[in-house]
Amino acid sequence: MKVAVFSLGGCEGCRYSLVEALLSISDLGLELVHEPLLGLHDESYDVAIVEGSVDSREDVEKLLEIRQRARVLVALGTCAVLGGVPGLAEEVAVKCGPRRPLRAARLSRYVRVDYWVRGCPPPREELLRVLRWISEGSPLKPGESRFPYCREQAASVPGTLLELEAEKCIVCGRCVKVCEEMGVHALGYARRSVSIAVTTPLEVSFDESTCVACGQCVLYCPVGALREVSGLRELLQALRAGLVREAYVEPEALAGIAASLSVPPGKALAALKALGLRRIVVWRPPLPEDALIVPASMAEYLYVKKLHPELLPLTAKPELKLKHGTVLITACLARRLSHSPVVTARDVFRALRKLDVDALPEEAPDEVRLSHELALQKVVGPSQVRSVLESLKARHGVERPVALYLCPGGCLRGGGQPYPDEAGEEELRRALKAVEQLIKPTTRGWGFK
Amino acid sequence: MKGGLVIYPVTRIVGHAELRVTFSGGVPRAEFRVLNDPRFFERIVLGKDFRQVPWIVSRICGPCSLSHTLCSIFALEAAIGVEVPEHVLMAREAAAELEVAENHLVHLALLAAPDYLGLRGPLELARERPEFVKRVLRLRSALAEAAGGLVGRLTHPSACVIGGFTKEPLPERLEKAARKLARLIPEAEAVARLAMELSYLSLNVSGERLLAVAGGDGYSFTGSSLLLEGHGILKPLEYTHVLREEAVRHSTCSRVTALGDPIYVGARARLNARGVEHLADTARGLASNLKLPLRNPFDNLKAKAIEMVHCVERASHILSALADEARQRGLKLRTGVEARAGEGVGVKEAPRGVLIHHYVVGEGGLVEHANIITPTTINSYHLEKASEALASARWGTSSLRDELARLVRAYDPCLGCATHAVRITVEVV
Repeated sequence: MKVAVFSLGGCEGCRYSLVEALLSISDLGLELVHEPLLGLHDESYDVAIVEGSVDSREDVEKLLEIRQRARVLVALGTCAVLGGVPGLAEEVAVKCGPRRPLRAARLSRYVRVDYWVRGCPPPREELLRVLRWISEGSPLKPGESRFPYCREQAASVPGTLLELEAEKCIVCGRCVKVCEEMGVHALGYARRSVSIAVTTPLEVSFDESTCVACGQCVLYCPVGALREVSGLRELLQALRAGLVREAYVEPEALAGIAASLSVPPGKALAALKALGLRRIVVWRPPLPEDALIVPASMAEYLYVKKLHPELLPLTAKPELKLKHGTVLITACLARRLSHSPVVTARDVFRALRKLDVDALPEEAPDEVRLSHELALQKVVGPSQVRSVLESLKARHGVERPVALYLCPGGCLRGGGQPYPDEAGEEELRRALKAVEQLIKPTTRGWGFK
Repeated sequence: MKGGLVIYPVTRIVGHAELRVTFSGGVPRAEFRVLNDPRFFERIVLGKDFRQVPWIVSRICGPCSLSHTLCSIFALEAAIGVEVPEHVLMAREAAAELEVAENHLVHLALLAAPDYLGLRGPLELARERPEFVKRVLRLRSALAEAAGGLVGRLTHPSACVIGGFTKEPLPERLEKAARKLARLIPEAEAVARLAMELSYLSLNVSGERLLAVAGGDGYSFTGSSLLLEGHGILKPLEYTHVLREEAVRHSTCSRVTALGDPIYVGARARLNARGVEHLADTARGLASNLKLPLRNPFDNLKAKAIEMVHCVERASHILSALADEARQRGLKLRTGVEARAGEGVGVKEAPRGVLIHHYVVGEGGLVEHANIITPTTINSYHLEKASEALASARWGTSSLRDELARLVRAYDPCLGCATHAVRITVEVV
């Protein structure tokens, strides 16, 4: 069979990096007759390999002509398969020299495509595999997928705190929406049509993206495709080995655990002890006062650092110092960036839900250690955080130091809390009231609203 | 003398183009019509986070994607004020040299050489001289592999980012690559000798100006400023004072002039600018009979041959120096990057000549302005002038058509680069 290679709009990197493969296709019983890069331009052929996206009216005419002549048409590379990087252009010129540009599009928008060879540039083996199918007859039945690597390409996005497993994703877009609402924009859509996927920009790991590990996307994901990297197993191991004896638990985390177990907070404390903890302190990390911006956790700190870096000198760095042998049980996923070991309320709920918590007697905390209310202006929720940071940048309207709570609803709706179907907003509020009742006699200055 | 001729398509170049030469009133007029579609990269990057830019602009051109990646990184690092560790600079220079060697090798051995051996193309070359083509392909894959060890892969590199590299190569791997390259120097030299023996017409373009990257260490491909013949050294940001870019009707590639004159960039310009004394040993030996400055556009082939050997040799030295450093002190190949507003211009010698990337980054790290000038864009006006000179000298001879096609190939134009963008009226679709 005679093979012709054509290039529409694109960087020509596919053909260029595959020159060697093209020179070797005679081994497959194919004859290369058209490849301008190699000085061949015979116009009678059976198989057309087309690289590049359709970028102009001239390209459309050329492509239609190729489709008419070729028995088999192969789309080569990401531009031909999906539109590629040129497809990102939203505006194009009306006329440009001798060409009439169009918005860059994949080949299948204009003609039927028989085979796809994906990649930017595609691996050599990928092209040779498709050419072998063409030369020896396709092993696929009609209607079967001709994307050889479709599943493998839907890779996961790794990170030290969050990970995204693309195979589970149903592209409902809730995580993208909440990430936008938070103002973080670390999640978005990639690829098109049937291959659309939710991922970070350019599929970098969460740590390299603008992600601040607030964990809201995990709460919003309905199928568990987005997960936090759990610290539960480590905690259970450490408990068994006797390395951890004491737990510091935030009031909001205690409320989250109690609400998700549907028990009073005293029973939740008893359940924690049943896990093997000897001593439990209800605790909230002290907020430093000597800065204008006081982040509640590393999430808020990273938010300022990544999105408003010029405000960083005014910002306190949240640092947690806990005694050795102590675990922190928190409502905030981002605490794991500043301390270890840390488990979230959601993790702890998973460990406790098999216990018969109702049968346990209620207990009181061994100690309550809450920071005194600081003379801080509390800013809760992404829109408030955004507007306060903007006015700080403009240097007006902010006299007192501000404490930032990025999660909507503050720590009560933090990224480490149980999923909404395990503990709803109302239940959480009621549980927090109960926690306040439980710890009231021993506290002074407890007044967090 | 009157009439005209059209060469379409010009083959064995990266891209689609047509050369038209017409004579009227005894004056030749050449039009190099680039027919690649414009792809508006300078618009695509607007409003994007600056960290995404290198991966996007890499797609301007496949063969020299590393150059676009690196040049945009230089510009953005200048814009946000990042200083990278010395090891990063060394590794980038080595990668750049490997890219230049690979590009030159493919161009000389597969695209241009058949012209002078009386063959029609690389397939015929493979039939006539299978050993030679095998050697070329072996050398090419060794170069791509060595570069891949540093930047992930040679076409659209994945490991080059603002601030350095995302991965750190093992010293054993660096050393192995360095040794392999050192072993390949004689192979590269054999390919280069073939190019050094080519004979071609003598030709020159009056009023041409050389443009090259200046600064850097020895005969290097990265540097800090520009050298314009008849004008002197320019800071990167000053390119806007002397270079003028305008759209033309006959081509999707704009025309660039320096103070009204045609400019030439590429291997010939670099060799003329940097001289032979900083070349690595084998390459200097090859260049010993050469009389500088080279004024014939066809001499670009010889300059490329010399550079190819130099690059293989020097990249091998740098890689083994990096391996030593890695063993003794450990490599530092990444530095932290934070978004900051600023403006920056990066200059780099791509395989085909001076590449300029210019960005303005706004608050929050979003790109507000971008301008990219590629070597083929700069060279295309010079190519038209050279075609006119050739047509005047050889009008009426039967070989003119072939000679013009050879001339185009001697420039090794890369038309994906040339048409990354054109600034004219736009319409939202």
